[in-house]
Amino acid sequence: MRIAERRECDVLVCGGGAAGLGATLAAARNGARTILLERHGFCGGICVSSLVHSFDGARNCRDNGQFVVGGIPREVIARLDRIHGLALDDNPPETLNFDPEALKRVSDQLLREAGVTLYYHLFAAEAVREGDRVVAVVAAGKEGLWEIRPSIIIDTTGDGDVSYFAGAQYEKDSMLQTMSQHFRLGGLTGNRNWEALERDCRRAMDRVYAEGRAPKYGGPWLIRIRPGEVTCNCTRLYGDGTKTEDLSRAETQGREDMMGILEIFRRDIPDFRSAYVLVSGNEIGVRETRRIVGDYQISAADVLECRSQPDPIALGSWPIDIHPADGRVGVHPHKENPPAPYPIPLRALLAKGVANLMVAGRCLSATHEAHGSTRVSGTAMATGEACGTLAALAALGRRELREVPYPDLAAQLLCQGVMLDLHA
Amino acid sequence: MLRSKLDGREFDVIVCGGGSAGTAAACSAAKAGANTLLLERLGFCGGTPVAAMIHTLDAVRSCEDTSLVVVGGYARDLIDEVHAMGGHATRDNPDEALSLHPEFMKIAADRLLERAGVRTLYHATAIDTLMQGNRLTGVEVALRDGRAQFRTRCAVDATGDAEIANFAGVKWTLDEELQALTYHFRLGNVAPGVTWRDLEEGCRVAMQKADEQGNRVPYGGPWVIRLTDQEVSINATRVYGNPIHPEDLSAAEQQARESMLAIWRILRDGVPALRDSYILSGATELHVRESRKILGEYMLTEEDILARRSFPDVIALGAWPIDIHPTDGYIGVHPHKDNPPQPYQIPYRCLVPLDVDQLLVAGRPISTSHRAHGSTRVPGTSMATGQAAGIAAAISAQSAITVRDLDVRKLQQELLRQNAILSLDQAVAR
Repeated sequence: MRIAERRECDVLVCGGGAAGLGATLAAARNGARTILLERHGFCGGICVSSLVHSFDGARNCRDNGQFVVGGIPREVIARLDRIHGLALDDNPPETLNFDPEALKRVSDQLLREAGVTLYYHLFAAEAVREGDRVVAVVAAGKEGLWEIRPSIIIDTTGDGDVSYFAGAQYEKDSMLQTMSQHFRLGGLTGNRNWEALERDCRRAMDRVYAEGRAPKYGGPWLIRIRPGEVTCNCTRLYGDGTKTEDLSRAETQGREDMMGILEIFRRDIPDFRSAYVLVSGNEIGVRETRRIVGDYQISAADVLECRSQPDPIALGSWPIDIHPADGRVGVHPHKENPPAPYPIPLRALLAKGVANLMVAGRCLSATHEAHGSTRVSGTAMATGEACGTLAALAALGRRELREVPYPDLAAQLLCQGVMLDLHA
Repeated sequence: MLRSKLDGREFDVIVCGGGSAGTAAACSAAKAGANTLLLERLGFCGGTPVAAMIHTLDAVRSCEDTSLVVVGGYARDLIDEVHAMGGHATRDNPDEALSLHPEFMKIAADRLLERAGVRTLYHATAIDTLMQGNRLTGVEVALRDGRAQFRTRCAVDATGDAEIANFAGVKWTLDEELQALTYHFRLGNVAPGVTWRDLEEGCRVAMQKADEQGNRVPYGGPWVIRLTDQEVSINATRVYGNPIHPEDLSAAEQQARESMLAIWRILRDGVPALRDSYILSGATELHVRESRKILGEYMLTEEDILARRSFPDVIALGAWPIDIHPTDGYIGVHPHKDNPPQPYQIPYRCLVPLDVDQLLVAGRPISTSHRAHGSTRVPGTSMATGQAAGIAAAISAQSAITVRDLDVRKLQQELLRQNAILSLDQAVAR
């Protein structure tokens, strides 16, 4: 294998989505020489690339006025606000919406200010394991392969790619959540609010599907950035997002379904009569693939009973939200009984059996059910921040990740404004 | 190293990159009877017109006489498919531009590939070549579930940056003064009923004025194109760097977004029709105009273009002016549209790299001089060279003859059978 260039660093973060942003900023600000790899030309992950432009899990789903994340996620929200990057208020109250273009710029700025070495258009293609350590990641780009040797690796690829390449233990459900191609429509008329539009979209889809003339669909759920526009979470694609053939089929089918659904909206709902696709996601939104097995696995009971943990590093709040892959369409029950904000333990971020590998975001250690709650972007960024902070403490103190006393980490997270409980 | 479940598959032809050249190559190879695989690193096809949001198929029309269509075949099929879905842009566009909605281009490419019987893998990136001496025998591909080796009789490099040629050891050049990079962006909520001409003029005046007042942002044009009334797509940001180097490219992506913001502010404040506009979307990635160019059996030059030199092995017609976005700090409009060339011939030998066998290169990096490349680099011409590369690869894969020794008459016959345009006599009125 020909290696074009080599790099070394304290902390390597793979994947610049919500979790990766949190991890990278926290590691760099705490003094670690940090490299971030992102396969696209921008950060933001699913929030930007798949048009899920909402920080779900940032608010308390039982009391939407209250935040359950502090630290970096709140800073990102404030920055978005400062450049007029937040969406209009007419949105479901548990969501926090923004303009994806604005998140790209805010990410660029924060990473630059933190002194991160950022490589766009480079992605992890291989991990080199020696004993209980991952000693290098081989990344692929236009120039060929780069080898990066870090002390600590944070896997924020969403799919747990690096952990998988490194031979870490993982689980993958036999019935993975469905994927969605989100799309943003323009040309809406009338000034009805999202609730009225969503209700009409659901009625139209239910009716046309019952007549056998609509593709499989979820929701529809609508969110908005600006007046005259709406972003639709509606397509429903089946398959395994880590299998290239499934993914390719889903991308193609997702676009066809999008056009089919748009036709239904146009025909049945007056507001959509001249609606057109402004843009669809850069890539299909993947909800669930590999879950890496950590020192602890978060369970449904942990979420639903709000079980306390000895080592909390963030709060989760999203309902257990599993988009069913059993053929059901429409709305699945999940928003009715949201859990009380619950602590996420540090141990769920430490990849079992690997000394220097952490996971944050969608691929952290949780059961299939619990993952339905932990998988969302607000929670992902918060878990990323914890990983980055711990990685820096370990790297700078020349200690193993598991040798850093939890109180040291907690103290530093609190300094950063992280919410470890609701009373913060 | 973890191996993907797809590891070990074999194909007659593998096309790397699903942009203008690659989609044309893959469809044409499959139509010529080859078992064809297309690898695309993103989740959709279309390349620069879609991902970099230029959304025009430049040089499908003659620039010298915009009523003439000089690229047929795959380009024609794509345009027809988009039109059938209602995905064409408003008529209010520059005459030489053929503007299509990027979302419809994605779907049209999906459908054409499916219909031709191409095996398409999205989110799949070739990261090395398999070689037997100087002969390419396959590619190593990074997939989400590990690495895969795919064997092939012939590969087409349609990556835009000659990535496969580079892995295979083909000699290439990188100009000291690469063309500028651009982050295209789309504005919404434009005042209704304003023409592209007025918008473009307004944008140019606003940018000049800002520059004179010391608000200096490097910019080109601006050039505007439109998908629909009340929207406008702006080609104006200008950043510099080597797009094949991750450090340069990363810096350029970031800088370009800042530049977009600065330019939009100037336009919003200076052009009344854009007063209430907002940035609807930036591109997925930077528009790279120039990177590696391979050294092939023949190197097309500016003289060839201007003298309209004829080649016995013609496989495509070019039509775009020599359009080089300067990197010397020059801002505004560079002269290129003033004296467009008459459509000219591109020989097959430009696609055939020296040194390496069973690899063809199509699209931006074909063997040309820096100046000639300023004309051949555009999507319409890329589709034409892509179609030729795909058919040549298919013919070679189904016989014992290498792509270098191919009977060009056979290639030309199949190109004509697939409705490609090889001479002005065939050029059709639009």
